[in-house]
Amino acid sequence: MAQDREQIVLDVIARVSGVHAASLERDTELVGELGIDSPKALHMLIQLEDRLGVEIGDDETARLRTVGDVLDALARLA
Amino acid sequence: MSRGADRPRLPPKTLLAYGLVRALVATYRRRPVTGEQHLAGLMTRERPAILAFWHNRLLLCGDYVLGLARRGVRLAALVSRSRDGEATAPLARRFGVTLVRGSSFTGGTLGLRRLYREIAGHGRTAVTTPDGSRGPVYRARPGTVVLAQLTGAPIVPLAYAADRAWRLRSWDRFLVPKPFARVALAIGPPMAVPRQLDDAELAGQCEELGRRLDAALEAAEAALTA
Repeated sequence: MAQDREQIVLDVIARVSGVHAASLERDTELVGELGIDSPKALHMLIQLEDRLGVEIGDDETARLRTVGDVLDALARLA
Repeated sequence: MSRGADRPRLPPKTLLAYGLVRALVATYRRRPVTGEQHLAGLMTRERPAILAFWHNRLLLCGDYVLGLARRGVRLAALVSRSRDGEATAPLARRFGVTLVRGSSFTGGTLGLRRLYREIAGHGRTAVTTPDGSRGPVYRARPGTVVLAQLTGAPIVPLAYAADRAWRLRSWDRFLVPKPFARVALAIGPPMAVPRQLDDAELAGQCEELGRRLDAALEAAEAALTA
């Protein structure tokens, strides 16, 4: 189940950034490497919340810097 | 309790600035608003809209928007942490406009998401400046278009023109009509943004928004001499 959630997170990040999911690493930077600017980040957050049925709080959001940060945040909300 | 008793008090500097601006605005000779019919049926809880204008047109477009708030339209605006954002925030709050703050995270993700929630969750009409808060001037960045894309709310362009005005030395050459200037405000037709957009299409929608804001500006300029 945790693997399913992780795959969903990677799929969403991949779709928003236009990068293949298999090439994403935990330390891949959302802004610097994937070019996820504010509008793309909004897409990402809404898709993650819709698909995983969670609400990502502002404090949690403000800490997101890398793919690993997103995975960890969603794992905490599971 | 009186209606004003539960309103937040304005800081003295804001109150003074607001008084000066109101005194200046009161001298303007206003032409009838062009295109106001485009707002019909919009800005309700069920059909919120996104009101958009170039940042340097904030003075009278903002004045018009505050007038909508006084008439009961439920509004939300994204306010930057810049000096002009801090200056206008108490005033907007005073008139019942819900304010959401920008953030340093990826240039405002939190602020954009809060605005999304105000539109999608609370049915508030949003107020945005597509080239704000830092420009480049007259270039619509994606935030407004993405909000429209995700919420389904149409973007309604606003602009105003004046026959005599000062230009401030800010990044956007902020427009301040001179005392007793003739001014005209124009509202353009609503712009619907498709739900599915790739990057190229999003860029195209931003350009289209820019064209519509420019068209509203031209309509305002035409109304000055009509």
